[in-house]
Amino acid sequence: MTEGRGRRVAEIVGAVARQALADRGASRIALLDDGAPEAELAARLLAAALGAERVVRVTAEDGEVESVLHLAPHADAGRVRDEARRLRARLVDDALAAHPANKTALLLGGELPPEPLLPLGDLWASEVAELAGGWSAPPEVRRIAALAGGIEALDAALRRWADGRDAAALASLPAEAAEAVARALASGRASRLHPRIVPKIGTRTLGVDLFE
Amino acid sequence: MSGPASVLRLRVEQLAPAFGDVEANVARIAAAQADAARDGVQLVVTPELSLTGYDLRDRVHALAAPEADAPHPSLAAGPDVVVGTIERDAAFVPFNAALHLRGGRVLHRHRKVYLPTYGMFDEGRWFGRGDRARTYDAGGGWRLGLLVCEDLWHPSLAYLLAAGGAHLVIVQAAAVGRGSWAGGEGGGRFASWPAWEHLARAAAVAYGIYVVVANRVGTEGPCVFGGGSFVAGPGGEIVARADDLAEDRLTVELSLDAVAGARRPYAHARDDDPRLVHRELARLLGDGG
Repeated sequence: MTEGRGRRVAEIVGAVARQALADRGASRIALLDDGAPEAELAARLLAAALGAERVVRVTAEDGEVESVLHLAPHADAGRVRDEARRLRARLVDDALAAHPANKTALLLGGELPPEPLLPLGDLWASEVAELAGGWSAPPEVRRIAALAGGIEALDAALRRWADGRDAAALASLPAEAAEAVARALASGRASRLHPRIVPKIGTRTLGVDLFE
Repeated sequence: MSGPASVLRLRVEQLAPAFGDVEANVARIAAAQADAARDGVQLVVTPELSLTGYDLRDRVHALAAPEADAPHPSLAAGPDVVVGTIERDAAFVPFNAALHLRGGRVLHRHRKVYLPTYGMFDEGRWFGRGDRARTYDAGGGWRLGLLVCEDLWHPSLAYLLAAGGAHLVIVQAAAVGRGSWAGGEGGGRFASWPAWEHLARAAAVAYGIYVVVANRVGTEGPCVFGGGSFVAGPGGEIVARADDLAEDRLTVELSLDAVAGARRPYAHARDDDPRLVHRELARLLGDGG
């Protein structure tokens, strides 16, 4: 069952990535790689479409950021690692930076990542789990998923809200989850009005036709 | 169109137009015409805006060609061809237009009536709206009608073409593949396809006509055009379907005998009453009747 979906997703992500590189005159993708299932899946899809040599997986380890932690004394090491990857990705020559976040994380995670390409941005976390065997999201989004009764329940409500334009869909979640979702959606709404490149896979897509 | 009376050999050229490059697209379609001539094809059908690309925004004005009887001399050789282009009228309003060219001259033009301006679409911002749906004689006994993409989603236009005697309705499309996760068992196709096929097959079986949907492929920005062009026969059956996503060619032989055969068991076309429709629409619109 997943094979057909996986093949089609790969075709679309690959085609849009190729087009994005051609449009910008860049020759490779610098993919922020935090080791999560999304990064693995994105790297696999992009390498299949572009060739592994055109996908630079940008990492940052704990030991590498220790010396700069003093620059952001109130931030935890995880955030500093994220920003270190971001900086490194921007410094890769002749490359387009890409962030592998899934659609659930993008919708509920506040400000969109600034990277211009979000190759998995139209796949819900539960769809990533089906393709990659797992999913990831910032801690607050994981907490909301737990409140909702699991990622499938959360994604189902979000899908009805987004694709079905059903404002009442979120009310089907437990009250605490619904309130958390509403807060999370509001926190990133302004950011989502400014599109990144999100390969259109689903019915409504960030940056294409999912505007609130 | 030359060839045996009542049989029309038609080819859908499912291609990925070069974005904004009319010269390259004309050359590509001219080459397709040459291939078609060798293969005995009488009519080549290309997708919506096949000469220009789709999401052109402000470039629409630069690419709009003045309305002309023979706008593309390079397409004068070979069989008839239906191209998608931007043409502007004397008031400099650009239209999303389908042109049936014969010997490079316009046999018929249809300007897209329904310009989708919702969701991911913004056509109403860039194009003027067509104001008619007419049929025309294409020779060999065939009467044709042209529609462009969203026009098919308004069944009144297919009805008007059927009422005008069409045997074949050609629909150019630039339909993005949507809902690939939910598309059919396992998501191997697009969730948007069943609706297209229902619309075309419903028109085909209701009016006893062929409906040809010529969709494009290729990528523009974040959107991948889905391909999957198809031909619905006058009994409502899918006669042929092209690949999804990849460039492809569909070559089919359409027969007026098949049209007649599809209409023989039923009397829908014979019994249809445009005067009733006219009268009731006039009443709904407050125009009396």
